[in-house]
Amino acid sequence: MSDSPLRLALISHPDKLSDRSEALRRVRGGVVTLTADSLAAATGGDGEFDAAVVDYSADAAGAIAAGKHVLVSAPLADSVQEAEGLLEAAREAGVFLAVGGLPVNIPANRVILDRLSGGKLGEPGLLRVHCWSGGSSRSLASKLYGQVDLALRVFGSSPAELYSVARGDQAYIQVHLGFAGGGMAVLDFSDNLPAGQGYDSLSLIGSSGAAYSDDHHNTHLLFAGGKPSALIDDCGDGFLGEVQSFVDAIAGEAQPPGDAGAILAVQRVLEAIGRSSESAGVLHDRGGSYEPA
Amino acid sequence: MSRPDPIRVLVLSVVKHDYVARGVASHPGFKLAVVADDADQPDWVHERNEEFAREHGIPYVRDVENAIAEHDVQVAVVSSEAERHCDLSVRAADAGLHVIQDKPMSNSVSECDRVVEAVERNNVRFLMWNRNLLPALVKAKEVIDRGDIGTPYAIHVDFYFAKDAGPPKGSLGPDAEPLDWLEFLKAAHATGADGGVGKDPMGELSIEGCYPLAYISLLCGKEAVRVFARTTAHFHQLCVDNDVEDLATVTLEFEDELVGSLAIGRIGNASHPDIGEIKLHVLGSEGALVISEARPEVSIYYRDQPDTEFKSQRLLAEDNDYLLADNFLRAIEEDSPSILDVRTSRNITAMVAAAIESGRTGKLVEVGYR
Repeated sequence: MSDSPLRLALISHPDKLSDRSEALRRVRGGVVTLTADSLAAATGGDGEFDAAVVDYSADAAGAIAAGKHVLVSAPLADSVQEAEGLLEAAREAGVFLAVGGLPVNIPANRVILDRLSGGKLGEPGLLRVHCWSGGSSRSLASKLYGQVDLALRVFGSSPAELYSVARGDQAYIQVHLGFAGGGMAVLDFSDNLPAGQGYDSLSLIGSSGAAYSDDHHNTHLLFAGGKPSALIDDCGDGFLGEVQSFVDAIAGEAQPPGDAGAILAVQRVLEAIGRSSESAGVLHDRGGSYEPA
Repeated sequence: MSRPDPIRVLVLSVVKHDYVARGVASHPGFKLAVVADDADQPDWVHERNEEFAREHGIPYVRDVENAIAEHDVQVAVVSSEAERHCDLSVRAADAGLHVIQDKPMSNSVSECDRVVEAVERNNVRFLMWNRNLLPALVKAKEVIDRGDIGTPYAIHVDFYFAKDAGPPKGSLGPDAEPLDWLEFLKAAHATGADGGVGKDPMGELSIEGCYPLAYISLLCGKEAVRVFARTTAHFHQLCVDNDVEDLATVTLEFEDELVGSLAIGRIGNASHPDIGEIKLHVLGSEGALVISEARPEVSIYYRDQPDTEFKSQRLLAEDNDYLLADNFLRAIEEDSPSILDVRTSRNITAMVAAAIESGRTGKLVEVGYR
C-alpha cells in the first residue's frame, strides 16, 4: 500500500464545488488535486488524479475509460442496461465503481440503520418516506434511487411485489413495496414544492422499536414580522463519509461501498416502478424480473 | 331567552368506549337519560352497562325497545361490540332516534348499508364519532380551505398507536394456546385499549382506520375508488393467532388526480414516548402542509413519573368531544349532515374492507360505493 495520498478529482456542479472541496479536506488518505465542473475540463488541465468523485454517469463512464476509480452520485444510470454497461466497463478496467449520494449514508439514517442492525428495533416492518423538493424536475431514477436503495438495505432483499402511482409526468410518484415476510415500504416523491428548501421525513417501524427522522422535528423559528418562518436544519448529506469509504476501499482498508449486485437490484426495482406507474398495475417478482400477477 | 331543554339521550350499550357517551354528556344541549341493552347479552355486557348507569345516576333497562318507548329519548349513542353497532343503530333509527355511533361503523359493509337505508328512510341524523375536530385537524382544514397550498393532489396519513396488545409475536412458544380475542379485549378494557372488543377479531385497519380515512374525507372531500394494501401481523401474538393485521399500508387512488396513502399500526408501547406518531402530509398545487395531529401539546417530565403517563399531554383534545356533540346538535336543529355522516362512514368501511381484501390477495381492489 502506498503512503502517498490518493489523488482525487472532484467533478461537480460549480455551485457545489467549493463546499465539497472544503469538506474533502478532512478525508484521510486522499487529497483533492483538481476540481472541475466536467471530466473533460479536468482531464484537459495539468492536474493528475487516481480517482474521480463525479455527479453524473457520463463523467463516470469517462473516468472509467481513463482507468480511474469512480464514485458517482446516484443514480448510476437511468436503465438497467446502462448500469450493467458501466459496471462491466469498470470490471474490465480493474477500477472501483461506487455509487454515492445515498440516503443510507446521511447521519440520521446511519444512526437508524446502526440501531436496526444492532437488533434494537426488532424486525423491520414498515419504512415510510416522504421526499419533496421544488424548483427542479428530476428523472425517476434520480428521484428514487437512494430511497429504494435504502428500502432494499432495510429489508435485506428486493421487494416481492410493488405498485406505483405517478402524477404530472412523474413530477409526483408514490411507491408501495411489499417484501417477503410481511415488510412494507411506502415512499412518495414530489418535485412540485415551491422553489426553495425541500422536505424529508423517514419513519422506520420495527417489531420492538421505531425511529423517526423528520425535518418537521429539526426546525427552528424565525420571527421577522408577520407569521414566523420555519428554518429547517441542514442535517448533513453524508458526502464526506462516502468519499472516505471510497478512499479506504481503494486502499484496501475497507469493503467497497456497495457491489454490482446491489446496484443492479436497485436499478431493476426502479425500472419496475416506472412500468407499474405507466400501466397502473401491481408487479410481482418472478425470479429477478417484475411481472403482472 | 331561555335555553331549550336538552335533548334526552339513550346510551345504547356502553361496553367499550364510554368516552362517546361522556363526550355527548359534556354538551349542555344533551342529557343522558337511560342506558339500555338487550336482555340476552352476556353478564359482562350488563355489568359494564350497569356500572355506567350507576355512575351517571340514570336507569339501566334490559330491553332496548322498552327503554325507547318509556324514556322520551331523541338520540341514541351506540358503543357496543362492533358487530352489534349496526343492528342497534338500525333499531334506534327505525324508532325515530338520531344516532351517534362509536367506531368502527361495522366489520361488514352490508351491515353499514342497513344503517344507511334506515337513517335515510327515517330522516334522522347520524354521526360517527371521530377526531376530525382536534385542533390540528381544524388548523389543517383552515389552511387547505383558504387555498394556501392550492389544490391538494396527494395526502398521506401516518396513524401509529404506540400501544401493546398482549405478548409480542412469537414470544409464547409454539405450543401455546391461541389467544382468545374476546377474552383478551375484555381484559383490555382497563386500559382503554379495547376498541376491537367483540366476538369477531378485527385488525388495526378495521379498529382505527376510520379515523385517518375520515381525516382524508374531511380535508379533501373525497373517497378512494381503488386501493392497494399490504397487511401483516407484525407485533402481537394476539393478531397472529386471530389472523388479523396490526400493521398495514394502503395506497389510495381517488376519482380524480388525487392520490394518497395510509400507514397504520398498533406498534407497541416501546415505539413512541406518547400515544404514537400521527401525522398528515398534504401536497398541493401551490405548496404543502405537514401536520402533527398531537399538537398543541405540553411536555411534562418528572422524577418517578409512571411509565404509563404520556410525557406529552395534548391540549384542547377534549374539545373535540364537545365540538362533535355541538356539530351533531346543529345537524339535528338544521336538518343538515353531521361532520361524519352515514354515507361517508359507510364508504370508509368499504375502503377498509377493500384494503383488507387487497392485503390478502396482493391485488388492486375497487372500492364499492353507494
